[in-house]
Amino acid sequence: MLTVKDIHKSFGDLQVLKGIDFTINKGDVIAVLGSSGSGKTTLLRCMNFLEKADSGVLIFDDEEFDLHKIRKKDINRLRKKTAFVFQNYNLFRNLTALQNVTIGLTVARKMDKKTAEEIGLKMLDKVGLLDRKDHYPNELSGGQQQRVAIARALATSPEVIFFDEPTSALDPELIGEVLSVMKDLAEEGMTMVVVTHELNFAANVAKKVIFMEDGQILESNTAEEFFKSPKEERTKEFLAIINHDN
Amino acid sequence: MAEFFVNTLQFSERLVTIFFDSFGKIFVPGIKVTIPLTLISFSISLVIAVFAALVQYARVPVLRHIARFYIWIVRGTPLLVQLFVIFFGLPSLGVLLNPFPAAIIVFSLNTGAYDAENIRAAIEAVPKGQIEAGYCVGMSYMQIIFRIVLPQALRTAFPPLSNSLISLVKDTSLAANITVVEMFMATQRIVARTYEPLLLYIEVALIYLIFCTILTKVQTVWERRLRALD
Repeated sequence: MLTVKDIHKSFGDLQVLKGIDFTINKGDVIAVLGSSGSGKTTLLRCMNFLEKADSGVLIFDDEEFDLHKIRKKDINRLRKKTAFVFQNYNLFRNLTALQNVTIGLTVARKMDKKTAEEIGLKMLDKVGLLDRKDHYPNELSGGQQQRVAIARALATSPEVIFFDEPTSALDPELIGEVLSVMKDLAEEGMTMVVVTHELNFAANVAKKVIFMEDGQILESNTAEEFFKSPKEERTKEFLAIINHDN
Repeated sequence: MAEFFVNTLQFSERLVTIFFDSFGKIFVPGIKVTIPLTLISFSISLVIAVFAALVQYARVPVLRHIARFYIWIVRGTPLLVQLFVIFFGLPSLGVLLNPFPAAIIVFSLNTGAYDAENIRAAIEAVPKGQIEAGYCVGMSYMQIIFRIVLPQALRTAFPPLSNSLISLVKDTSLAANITVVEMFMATQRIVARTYEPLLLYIEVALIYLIFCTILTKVQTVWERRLRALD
């Protein structure tokens, strides 16, 4: 469904992505692991054009685009097929939970308000926040905000949802509610790419794992194989440290 | 002694009579001229300010430089001088304006320049993540600006904008200099007739104070309401 080839990205002198190749198939749940600064968030942001890659190719549903030269019109069209969940939620602060969920439908896709609200309510129900529909983001806990953000992502029926460390900004006791929503989505067959530090999630929910190090993909495997028998020394080291911390 | 009291009493009586006779004569131009002058100018100034702030924020070529130039000129010259240039100066170029529209133009441009800076600062304070999230739900740049960024920025800019509204109420008294018969001009005319400057200027000051106090109260209530959303 979505393939990226040879993505390069630098910030000034710092090379963050050094040639990434990567394919997402329909129904994939891919966990992207790696230490801080390995480039995993940048990879995700480049795939949604929040960062402009220096070079690379993106193939989405058999359409090929040069990541450096892609036109605004194409970016907008491709973005409508995807959704993004941010580390710090980024709910629109001037809108209620329900309005946050429906604005992608009413404004961006010109859907009539009534249909959009029906979808919005369904999505809020799905993340267990129907009773919070008229609350503003500042009236919600971090976990609730992130669940609204997931509902917002779901509302536009994207082909793939990108999650950028969705639980990293949350208090430990709130992480569970967000992960359980994501687990339900995975079980329903939603295509997801999740940059995360949650090894449990990666091990139990993800079907594939990509391990990034220093701007490159060091190891890529099914989740089961990745955790049972990591191939690279660095991967073993990483897993040992993280497991030790947990 | 008795004569002194009678004199004083007569004097006070005269003052009281002048005070109450004048109240309506000052207050009515306040309602009919000062308030409309303030409200019309402020509304136009908001449109100018949002436009001047947005072209800078969005880095629109040429327009953003025009906006900077406009703000530079207006903020660097006295309001009174601006009134004189437009009302007494422009006729030399064949542009004759009535006092009221001339005042509207000057007050709108003047307040607009200050508010443009307030609004620009508020727009720049909207976190980048809000814009990114807007792109990610499929909105265009313009949709994000008008649905997300501006509503949030205007909320942030509310206190400084209310302050400039309150300043404007008082600044409209300068329009007396270009023959607009607003509250202050009306007062000056009564002073010329009665020769009671202290009483009458304090009286007009009190009426300005009443207008500004009402606005301050409204501002406080609204700010409390807006704060509930932050």
